[in-house]
Amino acid sequence: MNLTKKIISFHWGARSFVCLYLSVISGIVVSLQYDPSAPYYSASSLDILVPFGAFWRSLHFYSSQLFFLFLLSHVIIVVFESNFSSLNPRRWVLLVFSSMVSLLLLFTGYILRADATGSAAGAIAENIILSIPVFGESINSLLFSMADSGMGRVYANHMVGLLVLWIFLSWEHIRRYTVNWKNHPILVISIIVFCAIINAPLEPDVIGVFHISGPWFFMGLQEILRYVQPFWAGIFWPSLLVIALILLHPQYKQKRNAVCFSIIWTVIYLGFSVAAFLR
Amino acid sequence: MEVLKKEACANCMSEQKSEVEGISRRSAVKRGGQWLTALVFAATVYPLLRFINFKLPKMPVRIRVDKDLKLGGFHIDKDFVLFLGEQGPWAVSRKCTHLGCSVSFNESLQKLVCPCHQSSFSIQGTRLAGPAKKNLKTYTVEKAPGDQKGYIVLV
Repeated sequence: MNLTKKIISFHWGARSFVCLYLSVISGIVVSLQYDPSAPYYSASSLDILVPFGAFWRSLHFYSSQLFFLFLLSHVIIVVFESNFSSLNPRRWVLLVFSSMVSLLLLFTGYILRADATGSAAGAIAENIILSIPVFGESINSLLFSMADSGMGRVYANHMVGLLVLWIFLSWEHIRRYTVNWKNHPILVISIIVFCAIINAPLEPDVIGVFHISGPWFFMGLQEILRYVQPFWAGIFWPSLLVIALILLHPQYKQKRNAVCFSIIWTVIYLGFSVAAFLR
Repeated sequence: MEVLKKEACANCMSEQKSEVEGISRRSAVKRGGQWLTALVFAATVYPLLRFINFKLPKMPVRIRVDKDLKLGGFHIDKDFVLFLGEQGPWAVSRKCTHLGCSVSFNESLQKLVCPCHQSSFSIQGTRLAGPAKKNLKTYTVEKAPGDQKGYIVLV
């Protein structure tokens, strides 16, 4: 079997789901010791004080990252193979939005650490949302509102709101495919062993830091924000990709243009990400 | 026979007419139900938006800094940087006016620098360079009462 076929047949979607199982289970465990009124103290105490806290936090962090990475790969393979046979346009749109919600889930997890990266990422996200005319305040009140309410709403969204929304958006898709973690023993064991050895990152908010890198998936955005105003960089620019992804469905005549645009968008974003990484 | 056929046809037509009227009534009721549901839903959105948008007024916080500064000295707190100059003490917010990251104080350059996008500000909070457009907020500072050491910053 050549390499391309091996990559395509890797069951990215199933593996993404197995990682989601691990993320949800480890997230529930971590939440038993997490206190949103003292977020950084909670997160750092998990690593230093709570027995096996470092392991559970690491399992939650890395399984969540892998969930998203496998999900991205799954989407790319589906588009590459034009495998939309079981996806009508309505279901495809719901799945595109569910991918955006997955990203938000990952992002709110970063914020909840309340370390240097998390705090800065949260502040930037809040200000980007507030830049939306008319509805910015309401959307911020729903999603973040950290400046006024601390971590309360972010925590509620991460634990319940966004997860429920994700299930609602992807239900028609996930209920068709049963995924049993026992069919992926190497993946599960590898993640557990890795997390038993390697801790999840945590950057103390040290006074005198003059450069902070955001979460890896937002480094490109961080770079773009140097030159472009928050609304255009953080709302308009990503919305273009969402629209292009929606138009990737074969039923739309703009599919070919959408594919070209998506590739160009990704290349530009990767370029900015590299520039941010090299700073 | 023809009369029977006509009667049957007339009955058939009146049945069809009743059926059509029935369907029209049903669809009207169904549509009315949908409008009512939409109205009830819309009626709950307004209270929901009012609820989540409400911001409790913040209590003014008096933060105590328990040390005296030398002239030209500074103290870095979580939310502000306190300076002492010839005109007296003053405090500058650490919240960058670009996107809210916490600025750090570069002692050698005597500037406040944002670690997210490197906006820079003077020690008075005046914006100098970078994507931030506004000056940093400043806070009122009082000397600690009586013989006590330190300062009180009103945040």
